[in-house]
Amino acid sequence: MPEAVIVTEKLSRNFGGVRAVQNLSLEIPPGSIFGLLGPNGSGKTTTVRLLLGLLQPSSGCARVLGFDTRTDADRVRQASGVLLEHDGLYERLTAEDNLDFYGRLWRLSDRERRKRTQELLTDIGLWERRREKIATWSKGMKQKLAVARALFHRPRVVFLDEPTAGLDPIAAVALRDELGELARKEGVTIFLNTHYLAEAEKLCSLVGIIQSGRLLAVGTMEQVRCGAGGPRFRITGTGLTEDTIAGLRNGGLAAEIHGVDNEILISLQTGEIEDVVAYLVRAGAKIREVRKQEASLEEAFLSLVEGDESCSSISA
Amino acid sequence: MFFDICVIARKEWKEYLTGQGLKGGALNIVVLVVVFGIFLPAQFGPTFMKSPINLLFWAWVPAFLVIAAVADSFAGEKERRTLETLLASRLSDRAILIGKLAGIISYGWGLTVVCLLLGLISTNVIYARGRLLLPPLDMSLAILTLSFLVAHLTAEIGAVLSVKATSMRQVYQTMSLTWMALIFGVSYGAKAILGFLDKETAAAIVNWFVTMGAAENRLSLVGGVSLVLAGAGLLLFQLAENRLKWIRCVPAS
Ligand SMILES: Nc1ncnc2c1ncn2[C@@H]1O[C@H](COP(=O)(O)OP(=O)(O)OP(=O)(O)O)[C@@H](O)[C@H]1O
Ligand SMILES: [Mg+2]
Repeated sequence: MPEAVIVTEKLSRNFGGVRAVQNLSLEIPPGSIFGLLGPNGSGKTTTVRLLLGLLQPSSGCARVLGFDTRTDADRVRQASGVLLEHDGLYERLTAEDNLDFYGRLWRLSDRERRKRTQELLTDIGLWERRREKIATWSKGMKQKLAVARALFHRPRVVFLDEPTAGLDPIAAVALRDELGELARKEGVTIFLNTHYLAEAEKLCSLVGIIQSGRLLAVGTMEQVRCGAGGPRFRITGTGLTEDTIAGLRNGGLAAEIHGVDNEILISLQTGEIEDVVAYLVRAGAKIREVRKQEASLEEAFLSLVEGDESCSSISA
Repeated sequence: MFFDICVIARKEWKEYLTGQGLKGGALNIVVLVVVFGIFLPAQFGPTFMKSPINLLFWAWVPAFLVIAAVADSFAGEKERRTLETLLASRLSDRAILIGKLAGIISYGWGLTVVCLLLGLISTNVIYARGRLLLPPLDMSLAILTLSFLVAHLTAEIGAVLSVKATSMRQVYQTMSLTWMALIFGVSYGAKAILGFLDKETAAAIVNWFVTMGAAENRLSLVGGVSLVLAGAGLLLFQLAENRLKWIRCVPAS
C-alpha cells in the first residue's frame, strides 16, 4: 500500500474544558477523497486547523506528506491548498486578482498564472466575469472561486472545510460535480469536511464519522455502512418459527433479529451468513431467499451518532 | 523572502486603490494629495517651509494616513476573514508582517513625500516671483527622516494592536485618540511648563524652538529623536511578530 498522505495518531485538542478533538487516529492514502462527516461542533474544523499547523495539538501528533504538523507546519502549508470555514477571498479585488495574488504567493510564473486562471475559471463557468470585483458575487460563485484558489498552485493535498455550506441545492450539486471532476483531473488527495451525507456519498472514497471530537467509524463507504451494526440480511422462507428465531438469538450469531411472517431481518455481529443459514436449515426451516440489505450512509451515520449519544448519556 | 514581501505589499496597494471607507480608494487619495500637497501649502505660504511647525505638521500627516491603513490591513483583514487563509499559505510570519508594513509605510510615507513635493511646486508657482523657494536642506532631510520614522512607528503600533483586536474600528479609534491625546498632551504640557517658568527663560526657550531652523544642534536633535523612534520601532516589530506567531498557531491551553 502506498504511504499515507495524512496520518494522525491519537490527535487531541482541548479548548479549556471543551475536548474538541479526542484521540483521532487516521490514515489517508494518496489520491483519495476523504470525507470527515459530523454534526455541528463535532470537531471537523478543529481537525483541519490541526492538520495545517494552525493549532497546536494538546496531545498526539499528525503528519501530512511525512511532515510533522508541530515542527514542520511551513512545509505542510507549502504543499497544501485550503478552503477554510470562510472563503478568505478579497472582496475589493476582482476574481482574476484574487487568483493572481495567490498564484504569485506560490511563485507561479506570469504565463502559468494566466494559463491556470483561464483553465480554472473556465472550468467553473466564471471566466467571463473574471474582471468583476467579487464583492458583488453570490455566495455560490465565491465558494467556487475559493475552491479554484485552493487548487490553483496544483497542491498535493487540499483541505476543504464545508465547501458547499450555504449553497442552494442546485449550486451545491454543481459544485460537487465540479469538485469531483477537478479532483480526478488533478489527482490530488482531498480532505473534506461536511455534514451533508449526500456530499460524502457522492464524492468520497473514504469517510470518517466524528461526534464530540471522537472518530466513531472510518473506512470506505461500504465499510462504514456495514460497520454500523454489521451487515444486514433479509431471509425469507417457511418454518421460520418463534422457536427457531429464539434459538438463533441464543446462539450469538446475530446482533439483532426481527421476525415476521416467515421473514427475518438480521444484523450480523461476528458470525457469517452461511452459519446462520446452516443453523436455520438444521432447525427445519426451508429458505427461499437470502438478500443483503444496503444500509444507507444516512442510516449508518444516525445509528453511529445516536448510539454514541446514548452511550455518552449513560456514562454521564 | 524579498519576493514574498513585494507580493504582499502589492496586494495591499491594490486594496488601497480599490478601497472604500476608512482606507484608500483612488478618489480619496487624490483628494488627500490635493489638500495636503496644494491647498494647505498654498494657504500657509513660503514662511511655512522654514518654520519648525512644518516639522510637526509633516510628522503628523504620515501618522494620519498610516492609522487608517494599518487598522484596515491587519484588523480589517481579520474582520473580513481573509487573514486565516493567508496564514494557511506558504508565507512565513515575518514575510506577512514585513509585506504588510511595507505596503502601509509606502502608502503613508509615500503619499507624504508626494504631498511634500507638490507643496514645494505649488508654493513656488504661487509665491516664487522669479527665484526658487527651497526649504533649508537640513530641514528637508529632517522632515523626510522624521516622517518616515513616524510612519514606521505608527504602523508598528497599529500592527501590535491589530493582531489581537477584534474590530478594525476599535483599532482605528484607539490609535486616533492616542495620537490626539499625544499632540494635545505635548502642546498643553509645554504651555503649562512655560507658564511655571519666569518670563525671560520661557521666552528664551520659545525663541530657541522658533529659530531652531538656524540652530547648529538641530541635526543632532533630529538624529537623537530618530534613534529613539527607530529603536522603539524594532521592539514593536518583535512584539507584533510574536503576536502574529501566536494567532497563526494557537498553542495548546
Ligand atoms: N478557538 C476556539 N476556542 C474555544 N473553543 C473552540 C475553538 N474552536 C473550536 N472550539 C470548540 O470546539 C468544538 C468543535 O468545534 P469545531 O469548529 O471544530 O466544530 P465543527 O465540527 O467544525 O462544527 P461546524 O459543523 O458547526 O462547523 C466546539 O465545541 C467549539 O466550540
Ligand atoms: Mg466547522
